[in-house]
Amino acid sequence: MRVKAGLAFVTAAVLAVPLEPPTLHAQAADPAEAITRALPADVARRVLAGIADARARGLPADLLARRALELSAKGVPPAGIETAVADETADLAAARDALAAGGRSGPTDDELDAAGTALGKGVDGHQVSQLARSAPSGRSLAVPLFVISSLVDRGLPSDEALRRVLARLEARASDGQLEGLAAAPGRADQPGKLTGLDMAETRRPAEAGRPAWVPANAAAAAANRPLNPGRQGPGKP
Amino acid sequence: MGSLDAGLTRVGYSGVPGITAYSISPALQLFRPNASLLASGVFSEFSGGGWSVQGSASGSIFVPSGSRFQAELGAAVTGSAPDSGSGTAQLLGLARLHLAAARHGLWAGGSLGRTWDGVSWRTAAALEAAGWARLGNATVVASTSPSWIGDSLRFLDNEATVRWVRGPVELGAYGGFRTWFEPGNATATAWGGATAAYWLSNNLAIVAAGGSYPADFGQGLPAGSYVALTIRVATRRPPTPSKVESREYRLLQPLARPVVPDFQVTTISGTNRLVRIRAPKASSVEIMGDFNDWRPLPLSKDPGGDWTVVVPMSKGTHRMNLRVDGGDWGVPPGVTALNDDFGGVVGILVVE
Repeated sequence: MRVKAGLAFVTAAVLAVPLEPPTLHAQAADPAEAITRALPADVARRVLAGIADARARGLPADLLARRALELSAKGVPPAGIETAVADETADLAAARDALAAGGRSGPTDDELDAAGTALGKGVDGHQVSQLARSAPSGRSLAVPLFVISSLVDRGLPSDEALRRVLARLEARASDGQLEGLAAAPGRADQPGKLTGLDMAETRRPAEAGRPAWVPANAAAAAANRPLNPGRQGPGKP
Repeated sequence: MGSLDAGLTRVGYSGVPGITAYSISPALQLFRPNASLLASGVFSEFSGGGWSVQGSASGSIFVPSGSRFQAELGAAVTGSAPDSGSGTAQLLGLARLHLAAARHGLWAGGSLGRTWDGVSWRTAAALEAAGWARLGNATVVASTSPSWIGDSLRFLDNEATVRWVRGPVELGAYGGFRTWFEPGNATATAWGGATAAYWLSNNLAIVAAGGSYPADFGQGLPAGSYVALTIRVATRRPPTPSKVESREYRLLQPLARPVVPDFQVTTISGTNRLVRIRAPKASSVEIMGDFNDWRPLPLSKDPGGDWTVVVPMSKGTHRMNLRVDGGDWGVPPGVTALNDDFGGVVGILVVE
Protein backbone atom coordinates (compact mmCIF):
# COMPACT_ATOMS: atom_id res chain seq x y z
CA MET A 1 0.00 0.00 0.00
CA ARG A 2 1.54 3.25 -1.08
CA VAL A 3 0.36 6.75 -0.61
CA LYS A 4 -0.28 8.53 -3.87
CA ALA A 5 0.61 12.15 -4.33
CA GLY A 6 0.10 14.43 -7.34
CA LEU A 7 -3.43 14.23 -8.66
CA ALA A 8 -4.39 12.48 -5.47
CA PHE A 9 -3.40 15.65 -3.69
CA VAL A 10 -6.04 17.67 -5.52
CA THR A 11 -8.65 14.95 -5.21
CA ALA A 12 -8.05 14.46 -1.55
CA ALA A 13 -8.05 18.16 -0.87
CA VAL A 14 -11.34 18.62 -2.69
CA LEU A 15 -12.84 15.65 -0.90
CA ALA A 16 -11.45 16.62 2.45
CA VAL A 17 -12.75 20.14 2.69
CA PRO A 18 -16.49 19.48 2.70
CA LEU A 19 -16.17 16.32 4.72
CA GLU A 20 -14.14 17.90 7.45
CA PRO A 21 -12.58 14.69 8.72
CA PRO A 22 -11.10 14.81 12.16
CA THR A 23 -7.46 15.76 12.22
CA LEU A 24 -4.68 14.55 14.42
CA HIS A 25 -2.97 17.89 14.63
CA ALA A 26 0.41 16.88 15.89
CA GLN A 27 2.59 13.90 16.35
CA ALA A 28 2.24 12.64 19.90
CA ALA A 29 4.46 14.06 22.57
CA ASP A 30 7.68 12.46 23.75
CA PRO A 31 7.23 8.67 23.53
CA ALA A 32 9.08 8.37 26.84
CA GLU A 33 6.26 10.22 28.57
CA ALA A 34 3.76 7.92 26.95
CA ILE A 35 5.73 4.89 28.14
CA THR A 36 5.78 6.28 31.67
CA ARG A 37 2.01 6.65 31.54
CA ALA A 38 1.38 3.28 29.93
CA LEU A 39 3.58 0.96 31.99
CA PRO A 40 4.02 0.30 35.70
CA ALA A 41 6.69 2.59 37.10
CA ASP A 42 9.36 -0.07 37.64
CA VAL A 43 8.87 -1.61 34.21
CA ALA A 44 8.79 1.80 32.56
CA ARG A 45 12.05 2.71 34.29
CA ARG A 46 13.81 -0.41 33.03
CA VAL A 47 12.39 -0.08 29.53
CA LEU A 48 13.46 3.56 29.33
CA ALA A 49 16.90 2.67 30.61
CA GLY A 50 17.22 0.05 27.90
CA ILE A 51 16.10 2.53 25.30
CA ALA A 52 18.61 5.10 26.55
CA ASP A 53 21.33 2.49 26.33
CA ALA A 54 20.30 1.68 22.77
CA ARG A 55 20.41 5.38 21.89
CA ALA A 56 23.91 5.59 23.32
CA ARG A 57 24.92 2.71 21.05
CA GLY A 58 23.64 4.62 18.05
CA LEU A 59 20.50 2.54 17.58
CA PRO A 60 17.15 4.13 16.67
CA ALA A 61 15.69 4.51 20.14
CA ASP A 62 12.36 5.89 18.92
CA LEU A 63 11.66 2.57 17.21
CA LEU A 64 12.05 0.79 20.52
CA ALA A 65 9.87 3.27 22.37
CA ARG A 66 7.10 2.97 19.81
CA ARG A 67 7.38 -0.81 19.87
CA ALA A 68 6.72 -0.66 23.62
CA LEU A 69 3.73 1.61 23.04
CA GLU A 70 2.37 -0.68 20.32
CA LEU A 71 2.43 -3.69 22.57
CA SER A 72 0.98 -1.73 25.46
CA ALA A 73 -1.88 -0.55 23.25
CA LYS A 74 -2.55 -4.16 22.32
CA GLY A 75 -2.73 -5.29 25.92
CA VAL A 76 0.55 -7.20 26.11
CA PRO A 77 1.58 -7.67 29.77
CA PRO A 78 4.39 -5.34 30.97
CA ALA A 79 6.86 -8.21 31.38
CA GLY A 80 6.28 -9.22 27.78
CA ILE A 81 6.86 -5.67 26.65
CA GLU A 82 10.12 -5.45 28.56
CA THR A 83 11.35 -8.69 27.01
CA ALA A 84 10.24 -7.67 23.54
CA VAL A 85 12.08 -4.35 23.73
CA ALA A 86 15.25 -6.07 24.88
CA ASP A 87 14.99 -8.62 22.08
CA GLU A 88 14.38 -5.90 19.52
CA THR A 89 17.40 -3.96 20.75
CA ALA A 90 19.55 -7.01 20.11
CA ASP A 91 17.92 -7.51 16.69
CA LEU A 92 18.59 -3.88 15.71
CA ALA A 93 22.24 -4.18 16.67
CA ALA A 94 22.59 -7.41 14.70
CA ALA A 95 20.71 -5.84 11.80
CA ARG A 96 23.14 -2.94 11.69
CA ASP A 97 26.06 -5.38 11.50
CA ALA A 98 24.39 -7.50 8.83
CA LEU A 99 23.58 -4.48 6.67
CA ALA A 100 27.12 -3.15 7.08
CA ALA A 101 28.49 -6.53 6.01
CA GLY A 102 26.38 -6.18 2.88
CA GLY A 103 27.75 -2.74 2.11
CA ARG A 104 25.04 -0.64 3.75
CA SER A 105 27.00 1.06 6.46
CA GLY A 106 24.59 3.97 6.87
CA PRO A 107 21.15 2.42 6.93
CA THR A 108 18.03 4.48 7.54
CA ASP A 109 15.91 3.85 10.60
CA ASP A 110 13.30 2.19 8.34
CA GLU A 111 15.92 -0.18 6.96
CA LEU A 112 17.21 -1.00 10.43
CA ASP A 113 13.66 -1.59 11.62
CA ALA A 114 12.92 -3.89 8.69
CA ALA A 115 16.21 -5.78 9.00
CA GLY A 116 15.77 -6.18 12.75
CA THR A 117 12.26 -7.45 12.20
CA ALA A 118 13.51 -9.99 9.66
CA LEU A 119 16.21 -11.23 12.02
CA GLY A 120 13.63 -11.53 14.78
CA LYS A 121 11.60 -13.81 12.56
CA GLY A 122 14.49 -16.16 11.93
CA VAL A 123 16.01 -14.73 8.79
CA ASP A 124 19.77 -15.30 8.91
CA GLY A 125 22.13 -12.34 9.13
CA HIS A 126 23.97 -13.61 6.05
CA GLN A 127 20.71 -13.49 4.12
CA VAL A 128 20.18 -9.87 5.14
CA SER A 129 23.74 -9.13 4.00
CA GLN A 130 23.10 -10.92 0.72
CA LEU A 131 20.02 -8.82 0.07
CA ALA A 132 21.96 -5.65 0.86
CA ARG A 133 24.73 -6.66 -1.54
CA SER A 134 22.38 -7.72 -4.33
CA ALA A 135 19.89 -4.86 -4.26
CA PRO A 136 20.49 -1.89 -6.54
CA SER A 137 22.64 0.67 -4.78
CA GLY A 138 20.65 3.53 -3.39
CA ARG A 139 17.46 1.54 -3.22
CA SER A 140 15.84 1.40 0.21
CA LEU A 141 15.86 -2.10 1.65
CA ALA A 142 12.98 -1.43 4.03
CA VAL A 143 10.11 -2.75 1.90
CA PRO A 144 12.05 -5.76 0.52
CA LEU A 145 12.97 -6.76 4.08
CA PHE A 146 9.45 -6.29 5.42
CA VAL A 147 8.13 -8.39 2.54
CA ILE A 148 10.59 -11.16 3.37
CA SER A 149 9.40 -11.04 6.98
CA SER A 150 5.78 -11.29 5.89
CA LEU A 151 6.53 -14.24 3.62
CA VAL A 152 8.32 -15.99 6.47
CA ASP A 153 5.38 -15.28 8.75
CA ARG A 154 3.19 -16.99 6.19
CA GLY A 155 5.23 -20.13 6.33
CA LEU A 156 7.75 -19.70 3.53
CA PRO A 157 11.33 -20.75 4.35
CA SER A 158 13.54 -17.69 4.63
CA ASP A 159 15.81 -18.76 1.76
CA GLU A 160 12.80 -19.11 -0.52
CA ALA A 161 11.42 -15.76 0.62
CA LEU A 162 14.80 -14.16 -0.07
CA ARG A 163 14.97 -15.80 -3.50
CA ARG A 164 11.58 -14.47 -4.49
CA VAL A 165 12.31 -10.95 -3.37
CA LEU A 166 15.74 -10.95 -5.01
CA ALA A 167 14.21 -12.17 -8.27
CA ARG A 168 11.85 -9.24 -8.24
CA LEU A 169 14.55 -6.76 -7.38
CA GLU A 170 16.53 -8.11 -10.32
CA ALA A 171 13.48 -7.54 -12.50
CA ARG A 172 13.37 -3.94 -11.25
CA ALA A 173 10.14 -4.45 -9.36
CA SER A 174 8.99 -1.36 -7.55
CA ASP A 175 8.25 -1.32 -3.84
CA GLY A 176 4.57 -1.37 -4.73
CA GLN A 177 5.03 -4.52 -6.79
CA LEU A 178 6.98 -6.12 -3.97
CA GLU A 179 4.20 -5.26 -1.55
CA GLY A 180 1.87 -7.20 -3.80
CA LEU A 181 3.67 -10.34 -2.65
CA ALA A 182 2.85 -9.77 0.97
CA ALA A 183 -0.11 -7.44 1.13
CA ALA A 184 -3.23 -8.47 2.96
CA PRO A 185 -5.53 -9.96 0.34
CA GLY A 186 -8.88 -8.57 -0.66
CA ARG A 187 -11.90 -10.22 0.82
CA ALA A 188 -12.61 -12.02 -2.45
CA ASP A 189 -9.20 -13.69 -2.51
CA GLN A 190 -9.34 -17.28 -1.45
CA PRO A 191 -6.26 -19.41 -1.02
CA GLY A 192 -5.91 -22.08 -3.64
CA LYS A 193 -8.22 -20.49 -6.16
CA LEU A 194 -7.17 -19.24 -9.56
CA THR A 195 -7.88 -15.60 -10.25
CA GLY A 196 -8.90 -13.72 -13.34
CA LEU A 197 -5.30 -12.65 -13.81
CA ASP A 198 -4.01 -16.18 -13.49
CA MET A 199 -6.47 -17.39 -16.06
CA ALA A 200 -5.80 -14.58 -18.49
CA GLU A 201 -2.09 -15.32 -18.34
CA THR A 202 -2.66 -18.86 -19.49
CA ARG A 203 -4.37 -17.81 -22.66
CA ARG A 204 -2.61 -16.67 -25.74
CA PRO A 205 -0.15 -14.11 -24.38
CA ALA A 206 -0.93 -10.58 -25.45
CA GLU A 207 2.59 -10.10 -26.78
CA ALA A 208 2.60 -13.34 -28.77
CA GLY A 209 0.51 -13.05 -31.89
CA ARG A 210 -0.46 -10.35 -34.34
CA PRO A 211 -0.36 -7.33 -32.08
CA ALA A 212 -3.74 -5.75 -31.47
CA TRP A 213 -2.42 -2.50 -32.88
CA VAL A 214 -1.69 -3.95 -36.32
CA PRO A 215 -4.73 -3.16 -38.51
CA ALA A 216 -6.24 -6.35 -39.89
CA ASN A 217 -8.64 -4.53 -42.18
CA ALA A 218 -6.18 -2.54 -44.24
CA ALA A 219 -6.61 -4.68 -47.34
CA ALA A 220 -9.37 -2.56 -48.81
CA ALA A 221 -7.26 0.56 -48.46
CA ALA A 222 -4.24 -1.27 -49.89
CA ALA A 223 -6.20 -2.51 -52.87
CA ASN A 224 -8.06 0.77 -53.13
CA ARG A 225 -11.32 -1.14 -53.46
CA PRO A 226 -13.71 -3.07 -51.26
CA LEU A 227 -12.29 -6.48 -50.48
CA ASN A 228 -13.84 -9.39 -48.68
CA PRO A 229 -11.44 -12.27 -49.15
CA GLY A 230 -13.42 -14.35 -46.73
CA ARG A 231 -16.10 -14.62 -49.35
CA GLN A 232 -13.57 -15.70 -51.96
CA GLY A 233 -12.88 -18.96 -50.21
CA PRO A 234 -9.84 -20.53 -48.59
CA GLY A 235 -6.55 -20.69 -50.44
CA LYS A 236 -7.41 -17.59 -52.44
CA PRO A 237 -5.93 -14.51 -50.88
CA MET B 1 -3.96 -1.68 -16.55
CA GLY B 2 -4.36 0.61 -19.51
CA SER B 3 -2.03 1.44 -22.36
CA LEU B 4 -1.83 3.55 -25.48
CA ASP B 5 0.27 2.53 -28.48
CA ALA B 6 1.22 4.91 -31.24
CA GLY B 7 3.31 3.81 -34.17
CA LEU B 8 3.88 2.73 -37.72
CA THR B 9 2.91 -0.54 -39.36
CA ARG B 10 3.67 -1.82 -42.84
CA VAL B 11 1.06 -4.38 -43.85
CA GLY B 12 1.30 -6.60 -46.91
CA TYR B 13 -1.18 -8.85 -48.65
CA SER B 14 -0.74 -11.42 -51.37
CA GLY B 15 -1.57 -9.87 -54.72
CA VAL B 16 -2.12 -6.42 -53.26
CA PRO B 17 0.46 -3.64 -52.76
CA GLY B 18 1.62 -3.13 -49.24
CA ILE B 19 0.43 -0.18 -47.27
CA THR B 20 1.73 1.86 -44.35
CA ALA B 21 -0.57 2.61 -41.45
CA TYR B 22 -0.18 5.22 -38.77
CA SER B 23 -2.03 3.82 -35.80
CA ILE B 24 -3.18 4.77 -32.34
CA SER B 25 -4.33 1.90 -30.17
CA PRO B 26 -5.73 2.15 -26.65
CA ALA B 27 -6.08 -1.00 -24.58
CA LEU B 28 -7.56 -1.80 -21.21
CA GLN B 29 -7.14 -4.86 -19.02
CA LEU B 30 -9.06 -5.32 -15.80
CA PHE B 31 -8.51 -8.32 -13.58
CA ARG B 32 -10.51 -9.30 -10.56
CA PRO B 33 -10.30 -12.49 -8.56
CA ASN B 34 -13.32 -13.92 -10.35
CA ALA B 35 -13.39 -11.93 -13.55
CA SER B 36 -11.36 -10.39 -16.32
CA LEU B 37 -12.10 -7.77 -18.97
CA LEU B 38 -9.88 -7.06 -21.97
CA ALA B 39 -10.60 -4.36 -24.52
CA SER B 40 -8.58 -2.75 -27.28
CA GLY B 41 -9.12 -0.57 -30.31
CA VAL B 42 -7.08 0.68 -33.24
CA PHE B 43 -7.52 3.78 -35.36
CA SER B 44 -5.34 3.66 -38.45
CA GLU B 45 -4.71 6.20 -41.15
CA PHE B 46 -3.16 4.83 -44.31
CA SER B 47 -0.37 6.34 -46.35
CA GLY B 48 -2.40 6.16 -49.55
CA GLY B 49 -5.40 7.80 -47.97
CA GLY B 50 -8.29 6.38 -46.02
CA TRP B 51 -8.61 5.15 -42.51
CA SER B 52 -10.05 2.28 -40.52
CA VAL B 53 -11.04 1.44 -37.00
CA GLN B 54 -11.23 -1.91 -35.34
CA GLY B 55 -11.80 -3.05 -31.82
CA SER B 56 -12.38 -5.98 -29.59
CA ALA B 57 -13.62 -6.61 -26.10
CA SER B 58 -13.88 -9.81 -24.12
CA GLY B 59 -14.93 -10.56 -20.61
CA SER B 60 -14.99 -13.67 -18.48
CA ILE B 61 -16.23 -14.70 -15.13
CA PHE B 62 -14.73 -17.63 -13.27
CA VAL B 63 -17.14 -19.76 -11.34
CA PRO B 64 -15.80 -20.45 -7.86
CA SER B 65 -14.71 -23.97 -7.24
CA GLY B 66 -13.08 -25.72 -4.36
CA SER B 67 -11.15 -28.05 -6.62
CA ARG B 68 -8.51 -27.69 -9.29
CA PHE B 69 -11.27 -27.47 -11.87
CA GLN B 70 -12.65 -24.07 -12.60
CA ALA B 71 -15.30 -23.04 -15.09
CA GLU B 72 -15.06 -19.89 -17.20
CA LEU B 73 -17.98 -18.24 -18.95
CA GLY B 74 -17.39 -15.32 -21.24
CA ALA B 75 -18.24 -13.30 -24.28
CA ALA B 76 -16.19 -11.63 -26.98
CA VAL B 77 -17.07 -8.89 -29.43
CA THR B 78 -14.86 -7.80 -32.32
CA GLY B 79 -15.47 -5.54 -35.24
CA SER B 80 -13.92 -3.25 -37.80
CA ALA B 81 -14.97 -0.42 -40.04
CA PRO B 82 -13.03 1.09 -42.95
CA ASP B 83 -13.82 4.54 -44.30
CA SER B 84 -15.17 2.87 -47.42
CA GLY B 85 -16.83 -0.48 -47.84
CA SER B 86 -18.55 -2.60 -45.28
CA GLY B 87 -17.60 -3.13 -41.72
CA THR B 88 -17.22 -6.49 -40.03
CA ALA B 89 -18.32 -7.89 -36.70
CA GLN B 90 -18.24 -11.02 -34.60
CA LEU B 91 -20.15 -11.85 -31.43
CA LEU B 92 -19.20 -14.97 -29.53
CA GLY B 93 -20.12 -16.61 -26.29
CA LEU B 94 -17.62 -19.02 -24.81
CA ALA B 95 -17.28 -21.59 -22.10
CA ARG B 96 -14.14 -23.28 -20.83
CA LEU B 97 -13.25 -25.76 -18.15
CA HIS B 98 -9.78 -25.28 -16.68
CA LEU B 99 -7.65 -27.80 -14.86
CA ALA B 100 -4.69 -25.95 -13.42
CA ALA B 101 -1.66 -26.67 -11.29
CA ALA B 102 0.96 -24.14 -10.24
CA ARG B 103 3.06 -24.28 -13.37
CA HIS B 104 0.97 -26.06 -15.95
CA GLY B 105 -2.60 -26.59 -16.88
CA LEU B 106 -5.13 -27.63 -19.47
CA TRP B 107 -8.38 -26.26 -20.66
CA ALA B 108 -11.11 -27.33 -23.04
CA GLY B 109 -14.09 -25.44 -24.25
CA GLY B 110 -15.92 -23.96 -27.12
CA SER B 111 -17.46 -20.85 -28.55
CA LEU B 112 -20.58 -20.12 -30.53
CA GLY B 113 -21.81 -16.95 -32.12
CA ARG B 114 -22.52 -14.94 -35.23
CA THR B 115 -20.16 -13.25 -37.58
CA TRP B 116 -20.63 -10.53 -40.23
CA ASP B 117 -18.19 -10.32 -43.10
CA GLY B 118 -19.68 -7.29 -44.78
CA VAL B 119 -22.05 -9.35 -46.88
CA SER B 120 -24.07 -11.55 -44.58
CA TRP B 121 -24.34 -12.92 -41.08
CA ARG B 122 -23.14 -16.47 -40.55
CA THR B 123 -22.84 -18.77 -37.59
CA ALA B 124 -19.36 -19.29 -36.20
CA ALA B 125 -18.52 -22.13 -33.87
CA ALA B 126 -15.29 -23.57 -32.53
CA LEU B 127 -14.04 -26.12 -30.06
CA GLU B 128 -10.68 -25.73 -28.39
CA ALA B 129 -8.27 -27.78 -26.34
CA ALA B 130 -5.09 -26.31 -24.99
CA GLY B 131 -2.28 -26.73 -22.55
CA TRP B 132 0.09 -24.26 -20.95
CA ALA B 133 3.24 -24.43 -18.92
CA ARG B 134 5.59 -22.03 -17.24
CA LEU B 135 9.25 -22.77 -17.85
CA GLY B 136 11.45 -20.36 -15.97
CA ASN B 137 10.58 -16.89 -17.19
CA ALA B 138 8.59 -18.20 -20.14
CA THR B 139 4.95 -19.11 -20.58
CA VAL B 140 4.20 -21.57 -23.38
CA VAL B 141 0.71 -22.20 -24.70
CA ALA B 142 -0.30 -24.74 -27.36
CA SER B 143 -3.82 -25.09 -28.68
CA THR B 144 -5.84 -26.86 -31.31
CA SER B 145 -9.21 -25.59 -32.43
CA PRO B 146 -11.60 -27.02 -35.03
CA SER B 147 -13.80 -24.24 -36.40
CA TRP B 148 -16.97 -23.92 -38.41
CA ILE B 149 -17.93 -20.82 -40.38
CA GLY B 150 -21.38 -20.93 -41.92
CA ASP B 151 -22.18 -24.18 -43.66
CA SER B 152 -19.27 -24.30 -46.06
CA LEU B 153 -16.02 -23.77 -44.17
CA ARG B 154 -14.48 -26.29 -41.74
CA PHE B 155 -10.88 -26.04 -40.70
CA LEU B 156 -8.49 -26.86 -37.88
CA ASP B 157 -6.18 -24.22 -36.38
CA ASN B 158 -3.15 -25.34 -34.41
CA GLU B 159 -1.07 -22.70 -32.70
CA ALA B 160 1.74 -22.37 -30.21
CA THR B 161 2.88 -19.21 -28.47
CA VAL B 162 5.61 -18.34 -26.04
CA ARG B 163 6.15 -15.23 -23.95
CA TRP B 164 9.40 -14.61 -22.14
CA VAL B 165 10.12 -11.79 -19.74
CA ARG B 166 13.33 -10.85 -18.02
CA GLY B 167 13.94 -7.46 -16.52
CA PRO B 168 12.80 -4.77 -18.91
CA VAL B 169 12.69 -7.12 -21.92
CA GLU B 170 9.57 -8.92 -23.14
CA LEU B 171 9.75 -11.32 -26.07
CA GLY B 172 6.88 -13.11 -27.68
CA ALA B 173 6.67 -15.53 -30.56
CA TYR B 174 3.92 -17.51 -32.19
CA GLY B 175 3.41 -19.97 -34.97
CA GLY B 176 0.52 -21.94 -36.35
CA PHE B 177 -0.92 -23.82 -39.25
CA ARG B 178 -4.40 -24.39 -40.63
CA THR B 179 -5.66 -27.50 -42.33
CA TRP B 180 -8.99 -27.84 -44.05
CA PHE B 181 -11.84 -30.30 -43.78
CA GLU B 182 -14.13 -28.44 -46.15
CA PRO B 183 -13.48 -27.61 -48.85
CA GLY B 184 -11.20 -30.59 -48.92
CA ASN B 185 -8.95 -29.25 -51.64
CA ALA B 186 -8.18 -25.98 -49.87
CA THR B 187 -4.53 -25.12 -49.34
CA ALA B 188 -3.09 -25.50 -45.86
CA THR B 189 -1.57 -22.30 -44.52
CA ALA B 190 1.00 -21.42 -41.89
CA TRP B 191 1.85 -18.26 -40.05
CA GLY B 192 4.23 -16.98 -37.44
CA GLY B 193 5.81 -13.92 -35.97
CA ALA B 194 7.56 -12.31 -33.06
CA THR B 195 7.28 -9.25 -30.84
CA ALA B 196 9.94 -7.59 -28.74
CA ALA B 197 9.26 -4.93 -26.14
CA TYR B 198 11.77 -3.00 -24.10
CA TRP B 199 10.45 -1.14 -21.07
CA LEU B 200 12.31 2.12 -20.62
CA SER B 201 10.42 2.64 -17.37
CA ASN B 202 7.39 1.10 -15.67
CA ASN B 203 5.19 3.21 -17.96
CA LEU B 204 7.00 3.52 -21.28
CA ALA B 205 8.09 0.88 -23.78
CA ILE B 206 9.33 0.54 -27.33
CA VAL B 207 7.70 -2.36 -29.14
CA ALA B 208 8.76 -3.93 -32.44
CA ALA B 209 6.91 -6.74 -34.16
CA GLY B 210 6.88 -8.63 -37.41
CA GLY B 211 5.30 -11.71 -38.90
CA SER B 212 2.25 -13.05 -40.64
CA TYR B 213 -1.26 -13.92 -39.60
CA PRO B 214 -4.02 -16.08 -41.04
CA ALA B 215 -7.22 -15.01 -42.72
CA ASP B 216 -10.23 -14.40 -40.54
CA PHE B 217 -12.90 -16.03 -42.63
CA GLY B 218 -15.61 -15.18 -40.18
CA GLN B 219 -15.12 -11.45 -40.70
CA GLY B 220 -13.77 -11.69 -44.21
CA LEU B 221 -10.36 -10.29 -43.33
CA PRO B 222 -7.48 -11.58 -45.44
CA ALA B 223 -4.20 -13.12 -44.34
CA GLY B 224 -1.36 -10.67 -44.20
CA SER B 225 2.16 -9.94 -43.11
CA TYR B 226 3.46 -6.95 -41.17
CA VAL B 227 6.35 -5.17 -39.60
CA ALA B 228 5.59 -2.61 -36.93
CA LEU B 229 7.23 -0.25 -34.50
CA THR B 230 5.34 1.51 -31.75
CA ILE B 231 5.75 3.49 -28.57
CA ARG B 232 3.65 2.27 -25.66
CA VAL B 233 2.56 4.36 -22.71
CA ALA B 234 1.02 2.22 -19.98
CA THR B 235 -0.28 2.67 -16.48
CA ARG B 236 2.17 -0.04 -15.50
CA ARG B 237 4.13 -2.90 -16.95
CA PRO B 238 2.15 -6.08 -17.57
CA PRO B 239 2.58 -8.94 -15.14
CA THR B 240 5.44 -11.34 -15.71
CA PRO B 241 5.12 -15.10 -15.94
CA SER B 242 6.80 -15.28 -12.55
CA LYS B 243 3.57 -13.83 -11.23
CA VAL B 244 2.75 -17.48 -10.81
CA GLU B 245 4.83 -17.33 -7.68
CA SER B 246 2.37 -14.93 -6.18
CA ARG B 247 -0.35 -17.42 -6.98
CA GLU B 248 1.65 -20.17 -5.33
CA TYR B 249 1.99 -17.79 -2.47
CA ARG B 250 -1.74 -17.31 -2.39
CA LEU B 251 -1.97 -21.04 -1.88
CA LEU B 252 -0.52 -20.35 1.56
CA GLN B 253 -3.00 -19.24 4.14
CA PRO B 254 -3.08 -15.47 4.34
CA LEU B 255 -1.64 -13.98 7.48
CA ALA B 256 -4.73 -11.93 8.11
CA ARG B 257 -7.98 -11.09 6.47
CA PRO B 258 -8.40 -7.36 5.99
CA VAL B 259 -10.74 -5.81 8.52
CA VAL B 260 -12.24 -3.42 5.97
CA PRO B 261 -12.95 -3.91 2.27
CA ASP B 262 -11.25 -0.75 1.05
CA PHE B 263 -8.52 1.52 2.40
CA GLN B 264 -6.90 4.57 0.84
CA VAL B 265 -4.36 7.08 2.04
CA THR B 266 -3.75 10.25 0.05
CA THR B 267 -1.51 13.21 0.64
CA ILE B 268 -3.29 16.47 1.42
CA SER B 269 -0.39 18.76 2.20
CA GLY B 270 3.05 18.27 3.63
CA THR B 271 2.84 15.31 5.95
CA ASN B 272 -0.94 15.47 6.36
CA ARG B 273 -2.52 12.33 4.94
CA LEU B 274 -6.20 11.67 4.48
CA VAL B 275 -7.11 8.16 5.55
CA ARG B 276 -10.33 6.96 3.90
CA ILE B 277 -11.87 3.62 4.78
CA ARG B 278 -14.88 1.93 3.24
CA ALA B 279 -16.90 0.26 5.97
CA PRO B 280 -20.55 1.24 5.47
CA LYS B 281 -21.93 -1.19 8.03
CA ALA B 282 -19.50 -0.25 10.81
CA SER B 283 -20.58 1.77 13.79
CA SER B 284 -17.02 2.75 14.69
CA VAL B 285 -13.61 2.60 13.03
CA GLU B 286 -10.30 3.36 14.74
CA ILE B 287 -6.73 3.59 13.54
CA MET B 288 -3.48 3.64 15.45
CA GLY B 289 0.16 3.40 14.57
CA ASP B 290 3.65 4.63 15.18
CA PHE B 291 2.57 7.95 13.67
CA ASN B 292 0.48 8.73 16.76
CA ASP B 293 2.29 6.71 19.41
CA TRP B 294 -0.26 3.93 19.13
CA ARG B 295 -3.23 5.78 20.59
CA PRO B 296 -6.54 4.62 19.09
CA LEU B 297 -7.90 7.42 16.90
CA PRO B 298 -11.56 7.31 15.86
CA LEU B 299 -12.50 8.09 12.27
CA SER B 300 -15.64 10.03 11.38
CA LYS B 301 -18.28 8.77 8.99
CA ASP B 302 -19.17 10.86 5.98
CA PRO B 303 -22.60 10.83 4.31
CA GLY B 304 -21.36 8.43 1.66
CA GLY B 305 -20.54 5.79 4.23
CA ASP B 306 -16.77 6.27 4.16
CA TRP B 307 -14.76 6.80 7.33
CA THR B 308 -12.07 9.48 7.24
CA VAL B 309 -9.41 11.08 9.36
CA VAL B 310 -6.43 13.29 8.63
CA VAL B 311 -3.22 12.04 10.19
CA PRO B 312 0.31 13.45 10.02
CA MET B 313 2.63 10.80 8.64
CA SER B 314 6.18 11.34 7.53
CA LYS B 315 7.64 9.63 4.48
CA GLY B 316 8.80 6.08 5.00
CA THR B 317 7.32 2.94 6.47
CA HIS B 318 4.80 3.04 9.30
CA ARG B 319 3.45 0.25 11.45
CA MET B 320 -0.29 0.55 11.88
CA ASN B 321 -3.53 -1.22 12.77
CA LEU B 322 -7.25 -0.73 12.25
CA ARG B 323 -10.24 -2.04 14.10
CA VAL B 324 -13.95 -1.96 13.43
CA ASP B 325 -16.65 -1.85 16.09
CA GLY B 326 -14.10 -2.40 18.85
CA GLY B 327 -13.00 -5.78 17.45
CA ASP B 328 -9.51 -7.15 17.11
CA TRP B 329 -6.81 -4.91 15.72
CA GLY B 330 -6.24 -5.92 12.11
CA VAL B 331 -4.79 -4.71 8.83
CA PRO B 332 -6.43 -3.12 5.81
CA PRO B 333 -6.22 -4.60 2.30
CA GLY B 334 -3.14 -3.86 0.24
CA VAL B 335 -0.87 -3.42 3.24
CA THR B 336 1.97 -5.80 4.05
CA ALA B 337 0.99 -7.78 7.13
CA LEU B 338 3.31 -9.13 9.81
CA ASN B 339 2.75 -11.15 12.94
CA ASP B 340 3.27 -8.86 15.92
CA ASP B 341 4.65 -11.84 17.91
CA PHE B 342 1.88 -11.57 20.50
CA GLY B 343 -0.95 -13.26 18.66
CA GLY B 344 -1.93 -10.29 16.56
CA VAL B 345 -0.92 -8.69 13.28
CA VAL B 346 0.50 -5.35 12.29
CA GLY B 347 0.45 -3.62 8.91
CA ILE B 348 3.37 -1.90 7.20
CA LEU B 349 2.15 1.22 5.43
CA VAL B 350 4.54 2.83 2.94
CA VAL B 351 4.26 6.61 2.64
CA GLU B 352 6.09 8.33 -0.20
